[in-house]
Amino acid sequence: MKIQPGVGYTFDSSSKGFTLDTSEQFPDNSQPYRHPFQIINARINAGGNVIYQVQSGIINNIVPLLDDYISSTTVLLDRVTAGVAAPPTAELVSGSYDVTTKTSYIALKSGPDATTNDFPSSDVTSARYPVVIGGNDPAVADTDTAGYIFLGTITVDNVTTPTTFTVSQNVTGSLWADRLKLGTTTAVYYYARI
Amino acid sequence: MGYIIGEYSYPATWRAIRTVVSNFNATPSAPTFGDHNAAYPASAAWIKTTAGNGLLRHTHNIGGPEIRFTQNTPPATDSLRLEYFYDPYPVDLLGRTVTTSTSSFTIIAGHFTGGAAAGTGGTTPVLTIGYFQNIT
Repeated sequence: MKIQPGVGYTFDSSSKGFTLDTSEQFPDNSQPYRHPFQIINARINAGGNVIYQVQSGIINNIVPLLDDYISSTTVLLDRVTAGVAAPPTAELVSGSYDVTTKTSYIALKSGPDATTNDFPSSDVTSARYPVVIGGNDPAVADTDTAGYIFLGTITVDNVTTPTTFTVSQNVTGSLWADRLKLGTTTAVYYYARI
Repeated sequence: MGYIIGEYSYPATWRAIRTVVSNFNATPSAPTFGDHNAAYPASAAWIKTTAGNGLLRHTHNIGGPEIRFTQNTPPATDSLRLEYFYDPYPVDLLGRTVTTSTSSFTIIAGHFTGGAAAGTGGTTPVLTIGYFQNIT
């Protein structure tokens, strides 16, 4: 009798006979689950800075931008370009961290359209269009033109020469948001996960 | 295709079904609306809650609770009518005080059912009404 190895099983042979191992008969070929706005593939690049990607998601059916450090341009999170990482990759520099907490706050910044008042702006060329940024302010204040929600954080051991980092996720899905402004008070922004 | 939730024109999300109170007799000032966005200017024409996010729940597609305060002088025959307030607000507001620039009086059930006398000497606009106040 001759035994050939196949998919999902292996075998060992000895002078006493054969041992068949079928523990991998149903190998898991599925991709890891990734939710919208998940911070993924954080790592330290050749320049010594932390880089990360953000899984694409939507806020009010709009796909936000991310500052792609490879092309030095802001690109949509769902950008797909042959030969380039998808989703796009952002970089954190020393100024991206709060020096006390050594943490960068990965925030989704969105503002109302200056002409139509729709929130958020759907004009991708506008500074009010939703964009994911790595900020150094743990208590960044909303304004009439921009609201912030922290998608997650990246904490490093050293803000100038990081060697280790920790990723924490706050938002675990796409968002639906509203903006309200009453009188002279600063506009307030409300978010719900969808 | 159904309505897209959260758009200004139809109620769906919490923003679209919540509103401030309009002071019908005060000099109107136009709010700014956009999908998922509402901005009410500082004005006697708009009244917000003093707690929470300033808004009331309502069931109208467009519009919301409003107060109509009229004054005829002389003699003073002020009248107050509170419209489109839905549960639990009418019960909540009974017995609460309305303050105008020159007087104050108490809300009674009749104010919700066609209007009722509102005391003497009142002038528009209403400044506070129960736990509501003008948007400043």
